[in-house]
Amino acid sequence: MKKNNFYLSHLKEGILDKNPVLVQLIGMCPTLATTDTVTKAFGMGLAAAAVLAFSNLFISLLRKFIPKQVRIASYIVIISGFVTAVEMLMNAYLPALYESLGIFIPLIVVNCIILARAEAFASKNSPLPSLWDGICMGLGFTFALVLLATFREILGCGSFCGISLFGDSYTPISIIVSAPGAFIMLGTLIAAVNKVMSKATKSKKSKEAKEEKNKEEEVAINV
Amino acid sequence: MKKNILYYVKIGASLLIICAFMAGLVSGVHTLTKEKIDNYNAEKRAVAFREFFPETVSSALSEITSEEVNAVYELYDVDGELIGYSVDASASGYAGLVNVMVGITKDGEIKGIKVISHTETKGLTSEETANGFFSQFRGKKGSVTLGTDVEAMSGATISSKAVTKAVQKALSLNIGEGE
Repeated sequence: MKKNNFYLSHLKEGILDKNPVLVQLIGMCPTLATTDTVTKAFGMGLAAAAVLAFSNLFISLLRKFIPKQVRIASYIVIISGFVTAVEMLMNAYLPALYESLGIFIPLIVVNCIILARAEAFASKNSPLPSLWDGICMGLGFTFALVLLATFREILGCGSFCGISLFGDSYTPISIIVSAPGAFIMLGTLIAAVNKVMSKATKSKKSKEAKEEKNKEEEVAINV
Repeated sequence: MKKNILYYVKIGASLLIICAFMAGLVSGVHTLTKEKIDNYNAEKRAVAFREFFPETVSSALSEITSEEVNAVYELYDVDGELIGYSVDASASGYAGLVNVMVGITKDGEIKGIKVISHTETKGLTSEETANGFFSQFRGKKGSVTLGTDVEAMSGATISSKAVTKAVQKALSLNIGEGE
């Protein structure tokens, strides 16, 4: 029972409460750069998630073997090994995505999220939960990227996943697909998401407070 | 004294083992994917070759080599006759290397150019650029100078310089002239 709670709650944390991009505010660089189309964002998210999951697993398996003094160096070796492997696999089997993501695939090595989870979770927990943590954070990263890319592609290109939605009648707002637009859209998205989540926490807290009050009244009546 | 050495040996050894293992993994994936990647790159080149010389059926790496360029390819038609050359050259733009393929006729004239890869502004490989800036290079031979032989793209001087430089490198090999 306890195990199930951990896996489900961790998934919720990765996607919502502790979303790496929208809440923890890490891994922003690839977020800004690869969200001009939804297909690019999805590809980038999954590539980073794959690296995150495998590196978390490996680092957790080796956590008692790696000496503390060289742990960051070891993490980087492991992470870059997996990134290189993912890069070659994408070049071979997904060449179009590989070309469009370009230099941002090798840059996954320095994606803050991967090193952060390695240090904060994988180095201190057993392999299976670490693997799950990597998957959850990776899914949260992908979710944030795809969400941002949806807005940017629809408003900035008038299309979704490359399929034109409005035809010629829509003049795309080209600033949105450029760098300044990325910052503006990301900032707006973070503000909106945090507003929604704080409202949810507030209503949850007031609900809990009400339940507490009712329980107290019940006790008072019984006495 | 002995304890200190063992401490360093332990650290060095663990790093060595991790590096060796990851290197093994990477080279394994490399072997797995090498053929597919090579085929993909060859196909990309073949598309460029056929854009320059539509009759191209096969190509081969030329014996002509130079430090200035990445590779020279000889293009053959269905009878095995040499129809032209294609030179792979690179030059630095403002955001990295610009990789250009230059199609050259047997007389040393430029048949066409194509940007294979770059990290400059997106529009560099658009159709508009192909029909505008790149088309200026057709028919040139000997050398190309930005400003006199070809006009730079407005608002993209450095990218224009990079492409011109790469084409110049290809021309400096003097392929096809004097034959």
